[in-house]
Amino acid sequence: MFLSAGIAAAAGVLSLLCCRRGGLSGVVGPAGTFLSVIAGIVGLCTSPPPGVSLLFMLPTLILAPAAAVHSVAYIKGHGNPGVYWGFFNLTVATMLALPLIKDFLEFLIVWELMGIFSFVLVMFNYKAEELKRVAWIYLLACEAGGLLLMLFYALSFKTGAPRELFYIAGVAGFGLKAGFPLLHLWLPEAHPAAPAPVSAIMSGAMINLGIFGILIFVFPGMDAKLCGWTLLLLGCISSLGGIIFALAQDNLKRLLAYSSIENIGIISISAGCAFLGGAFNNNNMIVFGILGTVLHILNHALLKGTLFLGAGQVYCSSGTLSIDRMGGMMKTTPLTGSCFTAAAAGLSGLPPFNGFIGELMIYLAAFSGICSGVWQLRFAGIAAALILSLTGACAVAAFAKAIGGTFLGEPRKIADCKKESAWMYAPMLFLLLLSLLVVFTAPFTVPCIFKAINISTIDYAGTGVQRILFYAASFSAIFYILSALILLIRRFLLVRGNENASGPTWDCGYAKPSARMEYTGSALIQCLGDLFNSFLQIRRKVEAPKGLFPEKASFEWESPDGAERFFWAPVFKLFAGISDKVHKFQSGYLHMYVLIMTIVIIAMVIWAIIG
Amino acid sequence: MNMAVELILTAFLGICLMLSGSSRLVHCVRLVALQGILLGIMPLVMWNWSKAVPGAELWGTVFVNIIVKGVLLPMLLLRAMRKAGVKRELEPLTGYSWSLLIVSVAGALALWLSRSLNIPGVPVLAIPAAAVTVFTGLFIIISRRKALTQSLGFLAFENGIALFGVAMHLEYGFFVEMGILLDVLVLVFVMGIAVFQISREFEHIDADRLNLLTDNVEVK
Repeated sequence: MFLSAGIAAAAGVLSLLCCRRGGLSGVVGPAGTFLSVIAGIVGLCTSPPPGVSLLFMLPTLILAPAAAVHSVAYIKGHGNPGVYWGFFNLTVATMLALPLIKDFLEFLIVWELMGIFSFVLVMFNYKAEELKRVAWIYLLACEAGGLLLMLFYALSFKTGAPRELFYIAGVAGFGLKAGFPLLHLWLPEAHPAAPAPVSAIMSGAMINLGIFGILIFVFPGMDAKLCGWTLLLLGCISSLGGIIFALAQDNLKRLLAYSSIENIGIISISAGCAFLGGAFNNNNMIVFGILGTVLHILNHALLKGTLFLGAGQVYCSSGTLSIDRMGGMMKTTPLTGSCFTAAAAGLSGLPPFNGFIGELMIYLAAFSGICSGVWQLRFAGIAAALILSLTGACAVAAFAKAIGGTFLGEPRKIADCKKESAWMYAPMLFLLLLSLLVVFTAPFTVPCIFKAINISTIDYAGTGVQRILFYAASFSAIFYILSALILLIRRFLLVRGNENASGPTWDCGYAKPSARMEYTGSALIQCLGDLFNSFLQIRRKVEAPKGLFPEKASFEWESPDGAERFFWAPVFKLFAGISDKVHKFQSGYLHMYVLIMTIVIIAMVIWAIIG
Repeated sequence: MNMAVELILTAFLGICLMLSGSSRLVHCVRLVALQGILLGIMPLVMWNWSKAVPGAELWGTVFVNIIVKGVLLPMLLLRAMRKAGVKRELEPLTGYSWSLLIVSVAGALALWLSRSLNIPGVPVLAIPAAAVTVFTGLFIIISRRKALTQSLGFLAFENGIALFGVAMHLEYGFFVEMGILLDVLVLVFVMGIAVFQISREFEHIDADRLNLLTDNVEVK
């Protein structure tokens, strides 16, 4: 298994070595990624690692080749391909190696390497001015997480150390990568700036590793109730908060980044249900919780990968990521649009797609909690089900906005859209195909999942989960067959004699419609934005039309991150103030420094003798 | 307790006062060399001769200590002094009378504080003498301008710490002692070279004017 990570690392170093020759590294890079993925899959089949590691390796193994193919087209004209492929492969290598490492110190080293390699990828397009700030935020987030984990490691040796501090350091350190509430700061900044394939990998696979770390290193030895409630609480906040902020974003990739926060939230809700089920001996809740976690991690990787790759295609053809400027992209990039729509529907948890079966499992976990009769489980179940349904509804709205604003209607402020490239939509189709596979194989993989997780007390057969998944799969199959039939009939009818004319969108009733008359993405969700405004605190800048013949009118709105504005900005301001005051001590005079040290030493000696 | 030990410790206190009050660099170097030699013979003086004769390891430590601290380092410093062409510390940041006063007050304070630290087997004067030597070293680093005087201050500081160790019967063994000595030797060596380079580059070795390497100063 380590072989595959080794190949990826070797390929990375190799492509870095030949970064002077772009063409060569452009071949070595993707070839290395593919080789390492093949080695990884062979390794999985011959000597499978324990269940949890396997689960967290799969997203990387799936997303890496897709992102590699997409990158081939994406990075053309975007800088040095040697550097890109080098760090791409190194990042993939660290991500493949991480779930396999048992020793925490080694884990920490590889973890830090992953942060630094991906940092280079995030700032790959380093010539953009805005990127410096973003890259700085990302690096700071990585290093802060690393520091917390070092504290966690140090505390694990100290016998008298308070367990609470140990627990908080671990959850916060890994939570920084996973994007837990308040710690999610880097996600909405780094994802829009990074190249699309990198965002796909980071969002689909890397942030899951944060959850992996918590499950493997922090939770063992802890009280299952505490773990369950922590995950449930963090999950509830981050899923609802994430999707509400996603609603109000104008930048397409920023919206997707917030949606990642939401999905990590859903994953933790599910894992939290499983832990609570374990704490109160509720078999149904454990089984559904575990299945929900597994399926949602996979689904999120597949679908969010597709969405980010789609956003990359959109950016490459239109040159912008602002939803309000785009529109009508369905005409120039029809396949990308269709893939994006399908993936968005899946991620919102709509029935025929794979996102649905994952969320169905989580709902079932919540409902079995409600039915259990233990009041704690009842409370947890009600909270999980409520938050999940609210989140799902908001996700539909957010993606309706993203799709409507980007792909439908007429182009607003973009001219000469480029056609889509096969390098870019092929990986999206591949990922969607895999997600179809997830729907239909889910009933049959249930025994494998529980065999891999290897906890003997869980009785999955008694819950009838396979039957439920089978029903869901058959329902999806019927849906797909029906829609295929309808499409066929429509095609058949259209071809027969009827004239097939195409005109501009929204042409109904108006004499001469223009793109300015159509709904923008922001307009579409304005009512929801108003509804959640007490939470979002949207900044508006209105210049209302005046007089009978108004000449100028404008309207702007943006919704910066809430945690940044109301929590981190004041905190950082406070620290900056303190640092400014302390900074005066750094006068540059050696005498001064020694004087300060001497005073401190004397004070300590006196304190030691008298006290 | 041994009279000789008390005598040496008193000498340490006196050297501290003289160090803080003299402006001639040659004089200061000689004082520090004397400190080194006294420090070197301390383990022999403190040895309980009635029981046994000290082993070869102790003799080695004493010998190397005296050679390095009493001869080699002062020679290095005198050489750096000649090359940089400095003879006196002309404008100390704290005047000589004030320096004397401060070191005396520190000595009194150390004597007063050490009353409560009555460790059996350790000479009464040892802890205050060591503390005052350490303090004098630091004080010289703080209050003098020339980089050479500051390296002298560092040596005195180091001697003070070593005095603590000897007085408390802390025996680290030959190799640890040699390691510490090597550290000091390299440091003084580097300082000597640095002093020479600085004086060649800037025509002075005033450490208080070398303050450009800070974030606070804006580069013009």
